[in-house]
Parts: sequence; structure tokens; C-alpha cells
Amino acid sequence: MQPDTETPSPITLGLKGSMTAHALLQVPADADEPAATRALATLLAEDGESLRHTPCILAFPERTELPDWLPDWVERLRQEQLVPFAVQCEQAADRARVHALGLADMPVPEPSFRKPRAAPRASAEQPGQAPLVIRQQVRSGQQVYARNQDLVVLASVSAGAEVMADGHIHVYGELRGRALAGVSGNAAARIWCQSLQAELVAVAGLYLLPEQLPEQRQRVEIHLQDDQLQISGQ
Amino acid sequence: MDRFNRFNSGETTLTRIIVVTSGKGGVGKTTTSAALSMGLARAGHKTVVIDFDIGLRNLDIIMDCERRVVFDFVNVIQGDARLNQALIRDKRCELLSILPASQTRDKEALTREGVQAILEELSQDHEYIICDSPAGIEGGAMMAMYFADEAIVVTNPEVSSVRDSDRIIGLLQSKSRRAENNEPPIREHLLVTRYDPERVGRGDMLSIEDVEEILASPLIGVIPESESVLRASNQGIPVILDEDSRAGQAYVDVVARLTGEERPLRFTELERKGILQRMFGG
Ligand SMILES: Nc1ncnc2c1ncn2[C@@H]1O[C@H](COP(=O)(O)OP(=O)(O)OP(=O)(O)O)[C@@H](O)[C@H]1O
Ligand SMILES: [Mg+2]
Repeated sequence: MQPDTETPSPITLGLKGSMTAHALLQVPADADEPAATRALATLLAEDGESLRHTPCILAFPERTELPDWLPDWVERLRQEQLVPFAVQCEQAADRARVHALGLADMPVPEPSFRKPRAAPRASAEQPGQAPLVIRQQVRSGQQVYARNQDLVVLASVSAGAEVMADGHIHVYGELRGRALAGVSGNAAARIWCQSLQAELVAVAGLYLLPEQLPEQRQRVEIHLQDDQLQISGQ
Repeated sequence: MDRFNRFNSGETTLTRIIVVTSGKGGVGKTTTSAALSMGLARAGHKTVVIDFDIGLRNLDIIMDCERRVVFDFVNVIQGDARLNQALIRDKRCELLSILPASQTRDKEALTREGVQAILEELSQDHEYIICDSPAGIEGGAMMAMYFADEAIVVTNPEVSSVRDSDRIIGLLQSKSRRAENNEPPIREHLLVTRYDPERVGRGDMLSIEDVEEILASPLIGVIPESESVLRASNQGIPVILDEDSRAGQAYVDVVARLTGEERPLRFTELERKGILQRMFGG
């Protein structure tokens, strides 16, 4: 993209690593589509490598509703090989628009957000939805996301790999990588695995790192209780 | 015969295209490519080994033919030379040829169509095509693996190498021609190299069991750490020709397993060095 010399004062897009392993791409409230597009070009020129092929959540803070150019924006991100999979929004109309684009809606976090909003969605709300079943080992560098469903991995999840689901996660082999259940806020989601040696486990945005995990455990269940991740197993 | 027969008609040929890959650099890919191609040719199979490491050129040195390189892989792709002008026949074994990499061109010179055309042509009269991959997971490495039927994943028994191998196996399963066309997947074989039972015993290295468990891939062999490897490559001799070397013998076993024989693993246990071994090196 050519830099346009007649542009108004440049804006910057907020970019943070989020709790889960996706990027959070924030478009400032005063940005219109051309401004956001230019800022995107700048961002990609600076750090395209780490952004491309990384799942990202879109946020449009401090707006009364999502901008009408959202579909074009999502399309543009995809052309740039970004992987938007969710949009932060609250209102029913916005959520419907997001769903129409094949994306998940995520609650807008409160300033000191650490715990999910109530209303759990995803699989717990959609009984009968078949799980996504992965038969092969999920290898380092690979990501699997079960949107609106549970995830079943019949093999191991390697160190450096990441599995995510809006619902529950079952790993019948060893969990050595990262597992994030209930990524859209379902606090009822759980993780089960044969052997726990994870780099990170998270339910609905609350996570534990290796040093917080018990020394190697067999047949483990992880769930949220009173805003704490509980790990039970043998 | 139609040059593009092999990949487009779905017809199977007898040629096995085997990529030697690893992700991590310096783990023994080129050593392995040289040894296996020489071993296969000596076992009576017409074999060609291709250096995909454009810009570095190692293979021709290990094969002792660097001074005979006139045209290279890139010359053929760009149409400056015919394939048989670039192929170098090994002096020790006439069933073996080398297609050297270019030292001067950049990696972008390899095109998928060009590589495909060369593999097609080589498939017509070779039983084995061994592709020596560059390190990394970028263009060159992806090009080396793209058309493969099988992969030898070279791994040193240490965490970073194992992690990279895991990554490469994931790419073999998703980014190859076979994966993209929904054909049977690339058959992968795990080869553990630079294995040192003493260091494993001290806990400085992962054991074979650890590596196998993490990678969940079938093991085709274990090559011990051995000084004879460096000595051989300095002399331009694929180590498999050094019959006194344990690494050479282990490569002989790998060749046998590749061609369908069953052989027990050797040199994986800690053993007392006998007086003869001490005198002649291992
Ligand atoms: N079994 C072994 N015992 C001892 N040294 C070894 C062994 N295998 C390889 N080496 C040494 O390791 C070094 C790297 O080997 P080699 O060039 O085959 O690796 P490579 O994977 O092809 O490297 P690159 O990624 O740079 O292409 C060389 O110095 C070689 O002599
Ligand atoms: Mg090499």
C-alpha cells in the first residue's frame, strides 16, 4: 500500500498480547476505514511476521455500535493473512452482525477484566453439537480452534502447539502445549487430559502457567470454581 | 513419455522421493543424505542426491566432487543447462549421481514448477531421489519437502532439535503436495543422530525412548556420535564407506531398513571400549 501524503494526523492501532494466545487488535474510536487501513499497513510493515496467521480478536472500544465497514475490514485483514476469529461486542444487533460474518462475539472486558461475563455460551448452550475430533498429534507451531463446539484430540498436543475451544477440551494423549477451553467466555468449560505437562491451561480467560501446575499428573480434570482454576487428578 | 506424468496422472512409479529434513540446522542432514545415497547406490539402486541448500553448497564437498561442478540445480531450472549436463556421476559408484546446489544464486531461484520438472525427469530412470534440505522452515526447506513421498526427520537427542522436528512433521503433514491433494501422507521416518549413550546416562541428552515418545513417529535408526564423521567429510568420503566406523555401520543398517530389511538397533547402549576399539577409534 502506498502511503498517502494528504492523510490527516496518523493514528495508531492498539496491539497487546492477550491472556489467551491471540492478539487483540484495537481500532480507536475516532478512526474511519481509510485511517484504520493505513494504520494496519504501518503495523504490518513493522511486525507483519508475528501478526500473520495469528488468531486475533477485533475490538472497537468506545463506540456505540460496530462500524458499518466491519465486513470490508474483516475481508481486508484476511487478505493480509491475519486470522480474525472474534469481535468484541455486547449488543444483540452487533452480535448478529458479527455472527453473519462467521465470527464469534466476545464480551467487552471491563477495565480490570479478569473473569468472564456470566451467560456461558458455546457447547454448554448447544447440546447435540458434534465435537471437533483431531486424530493426529497436534505438532509444535500448529493451532486448532473448535469454534462453538468441544474439541477432542485423540493423540498428544506437543510443546509449542495450541488447542482452543469455545466448549470443552479432551486430550487423550499428553498435553504438553497450551490448551484454552471456553475461549468465548464459557466458564462452565472444562479440560480433561491423560497426562498434564502443559505450557498453559486456561478456562474462560483464567489461566495457569507451568510453575503453577502440579508436578505431572495423570488423568486430570481442570475446571473453574469460584474464579479459581481447579485441577483434580491422580 | 509425458514429463509431468508422475505428479499429475496419479500413476505410481517405482521411484521413491525421500527428503532429509530437520528444521534445526547442523544436526546431520547433509551427512545423512550423503551416507544414505551412497549406501542405496552401493546396494544396487540407481540413486540421485539433490542439494536443496542453495547458496551454501555442502553436499558436493562431502561427496568430493566440488571441483567437478560446472552446472547446477539452478542452471537447470532456469534453462541454462540440461539436467544431464548438471548431474555429476560419482567416481566410486556409478549408480550414484549428485545434482549440486548453486553457490552464487539466491534461494528464490527455485520454483515449484522447475523443481517438479526436474523430479519428473529424474523419476524416469532413478529408483531413489534423496533431497538434502536446508535448515529452517522457510522456502528452501518447504521446496525440498513439497514433492516427497517419504521423509527422514533427522533429530539430535536434545530438546530444541526435537521441538523443531515436531514442527517439521506437522508441516510434512499439512504443507506437502500429498497433503494438498489429499493423497496418502508422506511416510516419515525418525533418525536420531549424534547419539551419545554416555551423555544420555548422565542425563545431558534425551534418551531414544524420550525422543520416540515426544515425536510419536517410527524410528528408522540411531547414528552414534562419532569422530569418524568429521574425519570422513573432511576427506570427501561419505561416512558409510568407512567400514570401521560405528556411525558408518549404523548408516548401513538404515539403508537396509529403508529397503525393507529388519535390523536390530546397534550402538545405543553404553559399552566398555575394548582395546582394539580404543586403538582404532570408534
Ligand atoms: N554422527 C555424528 N557424529 C559426530 N559428528 C557429526 C555426526 N553427524 C554430523 N556430525 C557433524 O555435525 C556437523 C553438521 O553436520 P551436517 O552438515 O551433516 O548437518 P546439516 O544438518 O546438514 O547442517 P545444515 O543445517 O547446516 O545443512 C558436521 O560438522 C558433521 O561432521
Ligand atoms: Mg546441510
